[in-house]
Amino acid sequence: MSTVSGASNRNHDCSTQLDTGPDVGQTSQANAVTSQGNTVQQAQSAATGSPPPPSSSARGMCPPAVSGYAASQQQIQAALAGDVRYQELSNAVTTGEEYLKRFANVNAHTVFNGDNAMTLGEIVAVANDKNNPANADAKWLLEHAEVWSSASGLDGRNPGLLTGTEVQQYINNKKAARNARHDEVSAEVKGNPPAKGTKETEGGKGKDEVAGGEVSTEGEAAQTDEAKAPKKTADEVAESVPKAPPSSKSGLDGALDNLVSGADRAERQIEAVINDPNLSDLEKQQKLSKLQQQQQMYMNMLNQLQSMISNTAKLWSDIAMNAVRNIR
Amino acid sequence: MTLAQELGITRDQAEALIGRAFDLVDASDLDGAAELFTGLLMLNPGDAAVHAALGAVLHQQGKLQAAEQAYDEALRLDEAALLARVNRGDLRLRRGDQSGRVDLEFAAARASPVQERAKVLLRFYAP
Repeated sequence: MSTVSGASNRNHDCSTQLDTGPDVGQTSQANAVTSQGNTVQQAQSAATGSPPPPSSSARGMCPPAVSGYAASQQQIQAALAGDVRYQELSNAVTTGEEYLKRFANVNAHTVFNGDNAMTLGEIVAVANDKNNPANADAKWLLEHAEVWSSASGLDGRNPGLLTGTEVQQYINNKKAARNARHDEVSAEVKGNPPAKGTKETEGGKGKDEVAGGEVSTEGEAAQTDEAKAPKKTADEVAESVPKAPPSSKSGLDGALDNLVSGADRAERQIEAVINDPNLSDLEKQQKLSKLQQQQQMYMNMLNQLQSMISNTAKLWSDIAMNAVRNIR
Repeated sequence: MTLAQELGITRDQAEALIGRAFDLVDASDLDGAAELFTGLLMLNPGDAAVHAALGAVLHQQGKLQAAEQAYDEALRLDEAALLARVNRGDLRLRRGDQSGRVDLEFAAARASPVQERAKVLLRFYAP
């Protein structure tokens, strides 16, 4: 793809966007409006949690005016397409939206149907009940346990229970993060324009945190190095996700902390494996199955411990309440 | 390296988790106990006592095949896992498999909290 130079973009007809008729002489003003328009769009998208809509420059009509350079939207799109973090977040949003839809269907087919809240046990029950109309959806939910572990407890209440509101909040968080990443990548691309006569993506510069490690995506040289580097296996990709330091607490408190860390790490490992473009589908499936099993185990243990702790807390609260009644 | 080591779960933390699992057994929450024991085995598959405990829970739930597998694994790891010996002996003899007698005799010959049970079962299944 050839470079669309900043100069040629500035002379591009922005009439469609501004609806003021073709006027090359108004280009700088048009760019200013475009730039403002983008800002509004970005602000709106951040507020609504939706991705920024394609601007006129996205349609290749009129680039925003930035520091004398106009990065084309194609460059930004190319950078985003190669940005692991952005793709990760986009996938998470898609999965979250699908999760919410299926979650509602499963919820409608549980004993406590329509309460917009489910325990993992309820989902497992539907997944095990072949006659339940939501059986397939429940199985899908279990296969995407990473949403459960991230979303449950977002409202600070019972992490053993997941509500539709929490799933929505999860989606919103991922969208906000995705939009922020979009802005970062755009800013990087705009701030580092390509040299004339080079490919559009060569000027793209970005650093993305993948599984806690920094992955440089700087230009062609980095791509060449990457191509030369030995391909990582799924195990290595998962292992590259950093571990949280072990809890210094003893007994059950420490065990709980460590299990929560394990569940978090498993989630990040799942995301890292899903988003690694170098892994084959088969490799991914095998590793994901193992990781999801692991994560499921953590969640099951945490749920059991959580419900025990809740029961104990309730017991003490009942005892305390009875004591108060007796005193009165 | 086990998952428990990776997570940095210490001995006293593991014991606390095992204690909770037994609390669930005491509360007759066998499903909950099975989940905790299964999780503990994912964290550390080399713990014979936990395999034996999981076997006992599955046994109580009537999941006899899975229970026997858990006892087998416990005894593979530690042939002196007496709880697994007694329970596997009981399970096998109940279905008419006389190899269970060897397990019971092994446990009956060693001083332990399950020694008496092994002796009682041997008398019960005496031909």
